[in-house]
Amino acid sequence: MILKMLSLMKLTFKEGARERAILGIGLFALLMMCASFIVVNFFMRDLHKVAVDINLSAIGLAGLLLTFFVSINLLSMDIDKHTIYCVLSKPFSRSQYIWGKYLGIMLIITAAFFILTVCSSINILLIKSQYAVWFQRFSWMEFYKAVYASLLMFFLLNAIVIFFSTITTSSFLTLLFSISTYIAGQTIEEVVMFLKTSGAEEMALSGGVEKLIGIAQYILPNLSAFDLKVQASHAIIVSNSYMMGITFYSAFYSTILIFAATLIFNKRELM
Amino acid sequence: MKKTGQKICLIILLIGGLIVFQQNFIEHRKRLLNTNPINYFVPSKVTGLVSLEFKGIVSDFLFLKLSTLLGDKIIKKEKFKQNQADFIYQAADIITDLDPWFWDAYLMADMVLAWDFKEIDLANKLLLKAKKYRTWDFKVPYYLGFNYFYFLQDNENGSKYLMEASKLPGSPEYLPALATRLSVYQNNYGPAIVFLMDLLKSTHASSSVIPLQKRLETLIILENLEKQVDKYEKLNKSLPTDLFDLVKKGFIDRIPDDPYGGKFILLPNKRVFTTSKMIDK
Amino acid sequence: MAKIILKNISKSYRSDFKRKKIIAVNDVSLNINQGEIFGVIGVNGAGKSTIIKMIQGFIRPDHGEILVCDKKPSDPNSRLKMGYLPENPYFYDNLSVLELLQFSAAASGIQKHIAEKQIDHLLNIVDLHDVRKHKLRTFSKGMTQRAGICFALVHHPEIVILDEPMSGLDPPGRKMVIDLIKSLKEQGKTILFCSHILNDVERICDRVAVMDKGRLKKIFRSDEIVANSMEEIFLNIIQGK
Repeated sequence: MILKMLSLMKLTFKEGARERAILGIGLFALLMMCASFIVVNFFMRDLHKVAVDINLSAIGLAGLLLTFFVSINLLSMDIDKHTIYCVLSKPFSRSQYIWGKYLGIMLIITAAFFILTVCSSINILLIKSQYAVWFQRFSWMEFYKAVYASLLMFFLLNAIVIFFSTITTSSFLTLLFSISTYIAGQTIEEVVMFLKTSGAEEMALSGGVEKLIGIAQYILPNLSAFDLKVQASHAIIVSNSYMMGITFYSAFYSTILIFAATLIFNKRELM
Repeated sequence: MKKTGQKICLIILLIGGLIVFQQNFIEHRKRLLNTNPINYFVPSKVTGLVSLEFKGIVSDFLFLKLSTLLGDKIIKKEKFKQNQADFIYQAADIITDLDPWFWDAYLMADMVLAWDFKEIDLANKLLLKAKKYRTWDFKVPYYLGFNYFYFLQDNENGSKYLMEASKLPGSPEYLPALATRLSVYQNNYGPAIVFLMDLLKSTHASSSVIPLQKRLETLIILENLEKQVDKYEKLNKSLPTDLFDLVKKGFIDRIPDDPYGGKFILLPNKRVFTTSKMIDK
Repeated sequence: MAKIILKNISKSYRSDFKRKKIIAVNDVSLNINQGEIFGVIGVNGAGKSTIIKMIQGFIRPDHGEILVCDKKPSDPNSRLKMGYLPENPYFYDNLSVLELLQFSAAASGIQKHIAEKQIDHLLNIVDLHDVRKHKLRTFSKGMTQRAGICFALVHHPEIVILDEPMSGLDPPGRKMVIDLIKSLKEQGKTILFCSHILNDVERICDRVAVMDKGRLKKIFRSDEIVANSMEEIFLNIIQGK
């Protein structure tokens, strides 16, 4: 069973890694990193912050583009274009298909992140060498922790994409739902915190709406928990226990989503 | 072949037309932008949510927007209007809501609010916010201390914050001594000079260095004039009536020029003052 | 011994909320025996592809039972010894035909060294050996069809399902497919063969089932079909004569 999933993982990786869009996404991220050489000159002191902000944001944006334009192709369009028959006509169960696809997508994201992290490390090293005095408050460890946290977020986000792929009938709907969940996941924590302070009174929200938001915070994934960019830009130490916490959160939530996806997909008819 | 050639000519003509149009349009655009009142910033409740996971880079972008706006005014030597102080405070507040550790934003706001608008309370409000987050950074209590001492003549709080700063790593060695001096020296340009010299050492962007150097130059002149007034008083057992007395008695060769274009005046309390108030006209 | 058993299979679906139910397959029962070439013919929308998809497990019948080598289609192992060529094969554009076949063999548990030999053999038969490393997106329809045939056969399946295998092929290609089918029969393979080209069906099938509007109209044995009369027989059945 594992070998079959690995063969599908390999197939998915090859198919995804050769997508032309990946080249464009990589180029975009690299251009953004190169732009940091110019942008840092507009700042007075916090050059380390700006360099880290731009590099981490470039990696984050690349991850989003990969998720919404490549991952969706690899599963949702697999169903749309009937290339799924290619796999399911073989002795793959529906669960193996979903897991194999997910593993393949995770591999693509990880490979992309690795390459981009190497490029951004070189970028930061070069800026640091030019402006060493303004790089006092910088930590490689915190930088890589932020990259890792971002990677965990994308594992979770891609599990969301796969989940929606199994329940929607078109790749466009998958894209729409995935983007909506991403935005909601990034903002839910802030909204809840705002309501808990004075926001609820200020906005005169009804009890029902407040309750709904209260429930939503448990259903929606809290994607902002994986955002350590601001902390990394100021070398603020994030504890190892926090890192373990978000690792478990990502693994747990993703597993639930993939299992749910396999349950739904087992029942789905592929007309 | 002929048709292709015609199409290429047409494209070249259109590109030429576009370039001409753009040159004219840029002028129209500049005029329109100049008539705009000061730009607005969207409140952080919205900006924060909309930034999603890119709060850091959005704060950088907003900071650039603010600093180019301010820089533009400085370069054009435009006077700031008083209501713009609130705008600058709000802009810095939004930027630091997105990234509460963003020192450049706190510093720029402090410099402009304190030195250009004399809105010390607003400047201190931001610095107190910075203090909550930048707990390791001696510069926050350092600037707070300076504001209390220099602008508010509150030596007690000035000394308190400078002492706080002196306990944080990386703080200058002279800080404890400076903090104690504050309780001794009532009105003196000395601490301000030391402060500005230290500030210049740690400023990178040339757009910020030039105004700071000008201010330092002026403070050094003021301090020197006050020292000469003290010497005059000690020798002649009376204060000079004006600065010309110093020239007549040979304490100085001439009354120096104010880098800001004002005039140096001797006040009855022995303080030397400049009519420019160290503000660019 | 029956390799594929369909017992009272029915399948219907709704095209949208407003339209009434469309019956794709209506109470179809048939057995496909080991070693036979079983043809299924019918007009577009007769239910041929729906039956094949149910055998493959892509869709489930509303009623009835399907067994493939005594296993239900929901069991992935029912496809272990089955090769399938869909009517319009869609393959991953960024893979080469070699990678596709390597995947097919690996997925079916074929050892690498055996798979390599089989892949080479098949690619030579369908004349794709020279382009084996080219991306599938560069293939013409005929080349894709031939790649699909290799995909269906690379793992030595016992049952081969071919849905319109001649589609997109030129005359030499069609002859190649017919020869291939005949050689598969000699190897004792069971073949389910759907086609619109009635001459081919008549020529190579041991039995032929005629479907119309989801119903199984009649099953002919090859000896019951007079030469070149398949078209007439088919039209008579469809027109209810």
